[in-house]
Amino acid sequence: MINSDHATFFSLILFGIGILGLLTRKNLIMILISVEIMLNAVNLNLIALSRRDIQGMTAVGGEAIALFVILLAACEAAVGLGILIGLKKYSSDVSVDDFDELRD
Amino acid sequence: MRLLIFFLVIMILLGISAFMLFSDAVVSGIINPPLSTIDIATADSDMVYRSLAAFSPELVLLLTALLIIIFEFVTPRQRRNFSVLGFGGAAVAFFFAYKNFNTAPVLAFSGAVLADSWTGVARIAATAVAAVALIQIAPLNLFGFDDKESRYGEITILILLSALGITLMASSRDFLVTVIAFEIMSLSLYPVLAGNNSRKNYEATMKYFLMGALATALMLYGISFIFGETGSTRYAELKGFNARLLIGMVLFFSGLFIKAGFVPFHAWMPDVYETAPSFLGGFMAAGIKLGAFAAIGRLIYFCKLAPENLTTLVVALSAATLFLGNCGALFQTNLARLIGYSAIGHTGFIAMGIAASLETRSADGIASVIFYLISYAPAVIGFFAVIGMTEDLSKTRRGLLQSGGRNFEILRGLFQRKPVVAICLAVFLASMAGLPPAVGFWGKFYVFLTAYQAGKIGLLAVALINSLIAAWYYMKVMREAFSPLDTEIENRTSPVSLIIVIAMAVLVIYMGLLPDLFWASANLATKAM
Amino acid sequence: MASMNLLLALVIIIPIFSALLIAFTGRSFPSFAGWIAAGAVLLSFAFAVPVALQGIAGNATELHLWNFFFTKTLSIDVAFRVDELSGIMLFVVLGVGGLIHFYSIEYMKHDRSRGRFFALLNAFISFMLILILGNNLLMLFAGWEGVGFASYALIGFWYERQAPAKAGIKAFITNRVGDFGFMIGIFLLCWLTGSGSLAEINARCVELKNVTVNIGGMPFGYLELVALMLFLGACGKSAQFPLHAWLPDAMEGPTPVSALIHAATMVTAGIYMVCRLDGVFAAADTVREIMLLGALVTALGAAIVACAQTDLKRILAYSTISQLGYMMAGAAVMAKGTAIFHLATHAVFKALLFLSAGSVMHALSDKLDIREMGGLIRKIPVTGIVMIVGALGLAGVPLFAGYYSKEMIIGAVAADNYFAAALLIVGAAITAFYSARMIMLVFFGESRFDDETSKHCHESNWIMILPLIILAVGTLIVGHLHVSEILGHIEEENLPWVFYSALASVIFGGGFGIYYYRTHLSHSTPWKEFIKTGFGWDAAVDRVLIQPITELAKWVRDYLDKAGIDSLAHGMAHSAGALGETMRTLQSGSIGTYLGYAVFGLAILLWFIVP
Repeated sequence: MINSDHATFFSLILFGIGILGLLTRKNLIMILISVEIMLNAVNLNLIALSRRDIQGMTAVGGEAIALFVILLAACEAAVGLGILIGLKKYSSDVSVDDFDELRD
Repeated sequence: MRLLIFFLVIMILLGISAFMLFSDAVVSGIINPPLSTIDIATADSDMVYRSLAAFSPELVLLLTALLIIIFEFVTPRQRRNFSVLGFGGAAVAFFFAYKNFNTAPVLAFSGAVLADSWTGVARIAATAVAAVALIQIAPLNLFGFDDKESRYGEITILILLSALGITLMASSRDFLVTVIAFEIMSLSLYPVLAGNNSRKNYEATMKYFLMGALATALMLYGISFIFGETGSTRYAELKGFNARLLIGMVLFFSGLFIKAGFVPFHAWMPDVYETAPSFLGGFMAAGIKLGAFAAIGRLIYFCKLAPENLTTLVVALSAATLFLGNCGALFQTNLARLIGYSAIGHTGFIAMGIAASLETRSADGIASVIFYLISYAPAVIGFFAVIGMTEDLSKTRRGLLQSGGRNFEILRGLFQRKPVVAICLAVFLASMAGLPPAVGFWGKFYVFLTAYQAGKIGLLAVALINSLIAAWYYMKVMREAFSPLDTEIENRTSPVSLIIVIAMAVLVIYMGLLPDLFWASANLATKAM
Repeated sequence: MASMNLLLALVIIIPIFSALLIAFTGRSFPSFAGWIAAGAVLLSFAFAVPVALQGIAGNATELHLWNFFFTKTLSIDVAFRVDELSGIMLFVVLGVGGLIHFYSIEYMKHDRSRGRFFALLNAFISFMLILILGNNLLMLFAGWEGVGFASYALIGFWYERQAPAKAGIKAFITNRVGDFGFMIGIFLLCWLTGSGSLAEINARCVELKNVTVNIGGMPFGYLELVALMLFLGACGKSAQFPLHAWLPDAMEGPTPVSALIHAATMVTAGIYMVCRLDGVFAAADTVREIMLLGALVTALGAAIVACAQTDLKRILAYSTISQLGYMMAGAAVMAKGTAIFHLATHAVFKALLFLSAGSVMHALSDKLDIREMGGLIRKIPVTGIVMIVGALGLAGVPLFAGYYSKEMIIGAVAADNYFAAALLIVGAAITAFYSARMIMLVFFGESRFDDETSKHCHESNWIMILPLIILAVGTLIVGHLHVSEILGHIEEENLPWVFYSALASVIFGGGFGIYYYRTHLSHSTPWKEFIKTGFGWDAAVDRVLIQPITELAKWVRDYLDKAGIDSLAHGMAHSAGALGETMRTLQSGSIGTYLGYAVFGLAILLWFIVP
């Protein structure tokens, strides 16, 4: 039978995919998508865990938190895309590897 | 870009209003089972009103931001002057924060946020920092020079909202509220930072943003575990630290550590500080660090049952942060970058207080944390203001939102050119190096004392070595400012910056002569978390 | 007593405010600087008189300003207190200090940077007030370091010339040794008593007398250790053997500075501290033996060295050291009344002597060698008469100030130790001898200076003469005030032989000096040259302490700083060493790496914390 641990495991995999994408992708759009994947892993986990019984009661607030997470994701995407448009001026394929002047 | 920023602002406002309006219903009724004990006392009918009254500084910040949004549409030609309006709003908020500082704690919005003295200290500091940042970009600051920049209105709004985020970080007793405050605080700053329209500036913004996005994702993922384990998002419900809860806590802390600049989450800090315009540099170094540590401090208070190795972890992080930050600063030739690294070092010093607090399972260490933060703020704001007055503008536009060349050479012969500024700079450097009678000495003194009382002798030794390293590079800057003049550099004429610099120097000395006043406030702040 | 508190606040604030005012405007209006400075100190003196009189009468005024800092075990206030002891010190510091400020207006008239001079002088007065009025150890220490700073800055006031700069460094390094001990002493004392308040510390020392610590298996009295450290600090500041060598060199500073800081006030801070913490020293019998021994060596040795000096100001400097030895001897036998009495009289007549010496220098175009003087009484009679009054005070001739206080110290020491008292009587004879020698060589006999100097030789104007006359009158009066009785009853053995032999020694020493130097100089011999160098001690201190530290500082500057850090700072990456290279590699500038660090850190945290 599938229980919440399976869902947690699945969200862990999803989060891992997001982190890997964040680390390895060079295109800023792909990196933003990776962030979205991570946030979706969060949502999955929240919804799965909200069905768990706690102290004899059923907590069903996970979905409500997921709404907040979606809101935050939208805000972040807005700012991220704004920065992306700015970066477009200096690098046509918005590759983050083109930006390493600030160092040492 | 303009439309995007408005989109962002609207989203943030939506988030806040949704949170405020539905907090009673959503947060207390659905997310948290009525079993929760702290909520019962406040569950009467005029609760929302009383909650709002306790949060008057936040409301003032929010309403000023809203007002400026309306003005942006109504009188767009006047937007150059909006920062003065924003300064007024921040000053009023400061007044309310000062008035509310010592009142009885109010547990508001069904226990999600607490307006106590801890919040009070953070509010006073955050509103003051915001006010100082806004007055620095006021039109008075460019004598006889017409700045064609059109973004002053937006920047004012965003700085106010960021200050709002900082105060919410301090008052929050709920993981979800902390994340929302964290987002308000940081998302507002990305567009401000991107104002330079140079390649380096966008690079720094991109790095800052991606680290912030990672932080948000980690914190939210941490919340999902914590919620799964305790069935609540309240700090107060933290108990029975098992593996799942610990994973959640570490993920959540990692997000906060990114903003506070702990090693190895620090790498964005020097890059961002290097290109930040001077008013923003001061705001970030003093304000964002305050927000991150205010949240960490309050959360630590609820970690009394956490296992022993969380303490070991913070001790190790603190030592690593101290060494990497201070050694990194040794080799810098760029003033702002040097302050970026030294800010990492200061994070290490503050972390000692956190470690001490975790060790003794009491609020003693946290008092030294908040004291260090308020002692650090005037010196670093003043230092950035000095950078703003001296930076080399031969290659950039002269606008206040630009950052010019910031190599050590810009300070050469400062004592001959601007003796008052040079003396104030010496005061700031002495404070950051921790020399009496500047207040930085007392910040370090109390942090070291609490570490000593908690028995963290090894960490204390590391911190002492690092104080010496830090003194070395601060003295290097000082020597540059007092060396003979041999270059001519084009600077801004900044009367307001001059006033800010002098005021900050006076504040540093004043706080250094009366440290007990602020130490007593810091102790008071940790009484009822 | 609210009005007294207000007055006390004014007494402290006026010099601080004036110092800041001159520091900021002195460069623009140098001619007003002196008047502002002198006016501020005299005004402060006027306010101080009622407060000090109240304090001397036994009604202590306490001004509690604010709590400076507190921890769980220790709380330090910023508070001032005027009691008997600090009341007397107020008169000394502000009274003598005010006259010296007034004198300086004329003396420094032609100096370019007199704004800096007066700002530092006023800052010195402010710190001295903090030192004597502070109610706890930390304030005492703050004032102690502050007067030290003002002293180094003023010794090296003419820093363009080599000798003053070197003398400043010497004073700094020598005092570091003493201050190091003093700091340890303060720290140990705070730790032991859990309090910073001076009164509380003195009160608690009685019960803590038997606390011991083990050092290398040997039990030592804790308070003995503390007292030893404090005494080391007093040695540095009050120029006691073996840390006295800086004081003669300090005469390179302007003469009013020598009078104010290195004769009348700052150098007596060590004596003041010992008297202030008498509870600690009362509980440390062994250390008091050491103190008495050190005081005797200082008093006698410096007096002998003074006999061989040929530089007018150096004679006075060694005489200061010797007289400080007398005070320390009084303090060592716990007769703090006599020590403070001698401190007060010494401040008056020694300031008088130094200021007259300054007047002599003025007359002779800055000549200081007494071999090139002589017969000056005819040229500058007023200066001559007041200086003779000062010398009579120093020699201890009856009716003049030094006589009464010195007798009392010798009497108090005799109650404790006959042998020490006998040595001090011998010292008094030598003192009378060199005082006579100085006066005879400067003012009597044939003139030994050239005609050019003779032509310019003139009496100083009234601004310089007025303080001299006031101080000369003071020398006549102050000995008759019963200062020593203010601080409690002195156990004194009024043996006739002490009294008579002291008087006889003064008459003999002085008479011999007058007779011996009545017409001419004595010849220089190798022995005299050796004594002149302070028995070779100066050179030894230079070799052992000053030179190595100066070399070390130079080495740090040249190699560590210039060759090491600077080359790194200026972008010579190839020599940056492993650390710089590592930092460079770590901060690669690529966002992927940064995110990687964070994720790596997270992995470590998770691995570490999850059981």
